[in-house]
Amino acid sequence: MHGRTRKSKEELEDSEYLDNQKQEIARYRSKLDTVFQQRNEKRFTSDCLKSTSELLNLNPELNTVWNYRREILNETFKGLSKEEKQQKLNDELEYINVSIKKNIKSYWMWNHRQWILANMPSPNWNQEAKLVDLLFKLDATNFHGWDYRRYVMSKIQETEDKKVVINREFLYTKKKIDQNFANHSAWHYRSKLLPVILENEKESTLSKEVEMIIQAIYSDPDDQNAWLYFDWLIGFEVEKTTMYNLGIDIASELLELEPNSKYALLSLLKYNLALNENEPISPETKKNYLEYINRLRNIDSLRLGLYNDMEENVMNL
Amino acid sequence: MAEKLLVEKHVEFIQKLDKSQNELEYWMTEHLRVSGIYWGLVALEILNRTDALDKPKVIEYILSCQNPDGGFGGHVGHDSHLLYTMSAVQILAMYDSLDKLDKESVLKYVESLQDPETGYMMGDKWGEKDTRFAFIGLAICSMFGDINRLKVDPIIEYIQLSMNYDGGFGSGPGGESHAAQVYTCVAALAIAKRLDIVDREKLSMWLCERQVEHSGGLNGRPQKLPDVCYSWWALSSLDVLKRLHWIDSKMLAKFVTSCQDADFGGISDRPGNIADVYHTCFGICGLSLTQYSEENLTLSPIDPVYCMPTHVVERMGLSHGPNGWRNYVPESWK
Repeated sequence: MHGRTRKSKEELEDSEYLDNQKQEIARYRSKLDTVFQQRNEKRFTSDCLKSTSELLNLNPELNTVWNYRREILNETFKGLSKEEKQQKLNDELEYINVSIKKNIKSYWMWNHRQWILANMPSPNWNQEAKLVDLLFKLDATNFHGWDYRRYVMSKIQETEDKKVVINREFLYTKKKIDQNFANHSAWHYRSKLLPVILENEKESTLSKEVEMIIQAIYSDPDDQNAWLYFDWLIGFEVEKTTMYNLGIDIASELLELEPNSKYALLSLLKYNLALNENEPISPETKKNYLEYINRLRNIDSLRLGLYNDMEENVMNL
Repeated sequence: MAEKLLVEKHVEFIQKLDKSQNELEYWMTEHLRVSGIYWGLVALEILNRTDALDKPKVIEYILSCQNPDGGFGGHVGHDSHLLYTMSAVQILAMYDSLDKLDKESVLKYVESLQDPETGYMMGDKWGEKDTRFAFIGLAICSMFGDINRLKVDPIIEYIQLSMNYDGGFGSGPGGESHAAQVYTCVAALAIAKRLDIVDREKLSMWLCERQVEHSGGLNGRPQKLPDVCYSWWALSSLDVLKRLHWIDSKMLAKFVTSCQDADFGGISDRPGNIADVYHTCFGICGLSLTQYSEENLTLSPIDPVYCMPTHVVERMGLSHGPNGWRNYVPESWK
């Protein structure tokens, strides 16, 4: 149970509250019993469908009831024309559209949506993309929504040119990032699109991407994932040394502005180590590294074990 | 001063779950009762209070949740799903009663959920795919000593495709890293003896950053609020990676104990919220991983892969020994 405030003993023992619970339990149980009874009797009428709607409105987590709903629908499809089937599934989508906004984190509901679209004679995937975009206004990093968006795009790619779709999605993530640099879901999606785009136009895209992530780092130097993304980009570069130096420059500049910037310190250490990987280390350099680690210890007391391990590694260089 | 773990209150809370018919929540969670019992039993095991539940009654109930297809529903009369099948098998394993089960029927059910085309695992016959089911499929088969009932390679491929730039894993190929999905992937790879796939450095860094300043609790993704359940998802993975010491155990204990309900027992996701058995279980499991102790209290150790007490996993030969996952942790991690 997530995010619901605890009630006090008094509130829980209040007679009005208890009466209310009793009524709600009775209401819920009667709906539940009706639905399970109808299912046991193998009834698949539109009334049965309506009973499941009422029950799922009270509790969308009843996976068995979602299954029953699909059984009812499968049964009603028999003998229907394509148009009629489409209409039935449009109604079903309408139902989900209302409930999903209230239950944006329900796995079962997203599954059901996927099932509806998969069974439609003529699914409108572009409309699905629009809906997901609307849901991001409620919760910009909802991972069900982002997973669903990728699914929708994989379907669109079956009829549209793959390159066009990927480029459009790449722009879409840019739009989301411009709204909020810390939208990790959007950055993550970018990390899945970028390798495909780089297959064709490597240099210009890659340097633009590096610029963009640097902007993200400057806008929030305490965002670990922005640094991780920068680090991941290095893998695409032929000339890694340039990137290590760039990382060192950014980190140094940030540290001048904010001496306690943890990721700047970590990156300074990391890229110095990477740059000098095969060089013998001078006592002076070693001392510098150990000083970075000490500063990290002071800033970030939660992760002392990490810094102890780092220190040991540096000592063994 | 840090609060203490309210052991007696939590035991009472778990015992009372079966007697709360006057609360709406009892009915609203009926569909996942099997998992509820699993969470409760794990918590009791870790608190060394296994006897607090009526073993024969629980076993009888669990067996009554098995369907003709071999899988288990979350409650009597509910449809089979891998999630509940896993909980049922874990409960019977903890009670050393797997022999009460027709092993073949369960294995057949699990086998039927491997997509014949892709080899990826589905949650039930309706076809939902997720890295959670990759883990559960492998875990159940390994508990029955028959991991090769599944084609392991495509499952590993699925997990590999779910790996991200930050070293974490998502719910499936393309999915964003999430600490709970990380657990299922790391645990699945451990069972399949393929931990070599993990980018240990990146993943450990990402996981230890889940512990947030001030509260000491862990979140599941960057910039999200801390939540007690990640005390398990993130820490179990760090434990497998042998990097558990990269977080601050004392601060974590402070967070978990601050989420206890001092009146009725149980632990909630965050301080002041309603307690439930899920968070009670994973809060206590997290404390067990960090070897939390008090003057007269030692917690029973838990296995970070199977999420069952270590003594159970040892008895089943799943931890050490020729089939034990610990035998296949990369040498360089040790």
